[in-house]
Amino acid sequence: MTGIRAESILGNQAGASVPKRRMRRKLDEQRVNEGVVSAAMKGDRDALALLWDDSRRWIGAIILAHKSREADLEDLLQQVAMQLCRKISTLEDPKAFRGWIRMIAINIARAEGRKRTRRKRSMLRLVGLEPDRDHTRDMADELFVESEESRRVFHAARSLPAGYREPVLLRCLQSMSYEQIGDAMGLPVTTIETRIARGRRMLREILEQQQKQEATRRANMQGSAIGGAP
Amino acid sequence: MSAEHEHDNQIDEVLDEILPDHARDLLISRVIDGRASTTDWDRFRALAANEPEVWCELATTQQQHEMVRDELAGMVSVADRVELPGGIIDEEGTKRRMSMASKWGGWAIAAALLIAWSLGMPRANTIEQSPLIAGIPGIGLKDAEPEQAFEQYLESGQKSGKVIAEMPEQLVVETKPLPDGTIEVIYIRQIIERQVIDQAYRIMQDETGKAFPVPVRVERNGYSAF
Repeated sequence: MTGIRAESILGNQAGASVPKRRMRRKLDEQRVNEGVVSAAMKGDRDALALLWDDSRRWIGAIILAHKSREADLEDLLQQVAMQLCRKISTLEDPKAFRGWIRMIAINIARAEGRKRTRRKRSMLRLVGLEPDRDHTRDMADELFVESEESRRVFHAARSLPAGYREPVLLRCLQSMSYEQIGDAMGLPVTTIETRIARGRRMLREILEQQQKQEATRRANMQGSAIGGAP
Repeated sequence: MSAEHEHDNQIDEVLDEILPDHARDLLISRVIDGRASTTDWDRFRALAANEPEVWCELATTQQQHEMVRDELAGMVSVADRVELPGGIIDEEGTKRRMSMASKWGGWAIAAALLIAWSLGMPRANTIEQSPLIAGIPGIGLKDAEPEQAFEQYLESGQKSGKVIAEMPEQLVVETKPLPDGTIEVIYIRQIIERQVIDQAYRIMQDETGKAFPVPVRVERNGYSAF
């Protein structure tokens, strides 16, 4: 059994050199246009495969932007792929594709978040440990903080307000232009530019604040260690 | 306009008022994204001549952008393994799911054995002896559709206290295309059941690999995983 792959209409890429792969990418970008979306809407499975091949990474970024756990990403993408196959024919305007698939991804990410909360509560209730408030997620997030700098920066980016987080992350995918991000989010390019600029500034400030807090914490620890010495 | 957009626009408006140096953020952002025009560069140089720390801000923002980019690229690379249903999703993913399913199955078999050892094996004709199920009078289990029968099981089980609930998510094990264009989905439905037993046992294996039960002492103020 094999999956539907874009290669099926672009030829076998095994052994393709890097420049050839780049050319293929360029070709894909040119081919993924409204015509491809229209063909996919009419049931052309190759067009649908090409569309998915082109979209899945940025859809993944959107799912992450809506605070899904990284461990769930593959499963959630499979749900998006399933919905894409089932519902592409209901899309009315090919121009609306990016916004449409973005909403599907967001709904799936949110539904998973709700399920996870329910699961935690019900499991805790089963063992008689249901807390008054659901602190589990916060605790898990705290435990997840890693010392590695880039990891810390990435988690800070995921803590930005939703309207800023999504364009900042999407811009980090090199294939996404401001125009494409605006298209997906249903916002003008000027707003996207503003959100990205402000989101980056917020990120800088969050990280500066974290560094200050860390420095204070260390200073306090040192102080108490010295004070506590006989 | 969605509530989400409206909320973000309100934040934008507030920020417009409290961030007079928005142009500075825009310039930094344009330089990072390679969108700065000649005029933007002239403005940036003029700004940096008066406030040299803007170079530092640029460097920090650029570095953070690259860190987020690299982390994100690593994370979303799993997307390359996700193919459209209509074929097998991907071999690795399916293998993992099958393994998960078999582990789950193994656990279920172990649990079933445990209960069987303590209560005795259920009689094969138990269902046959009670064809009418509470809640849906008149429909025998023999005549019911699978979904009806399942609903009856849940309803009856919840009434008797045996069934606690069905877990909301269903675990997809495999999808495959059928010749008629439809898709076959194999999945696991998870049901939480409750059983009161006199004695718990752990299933162990002897040196020949044969399973045998060992009584487990369960503390009154705690619980032990099997």
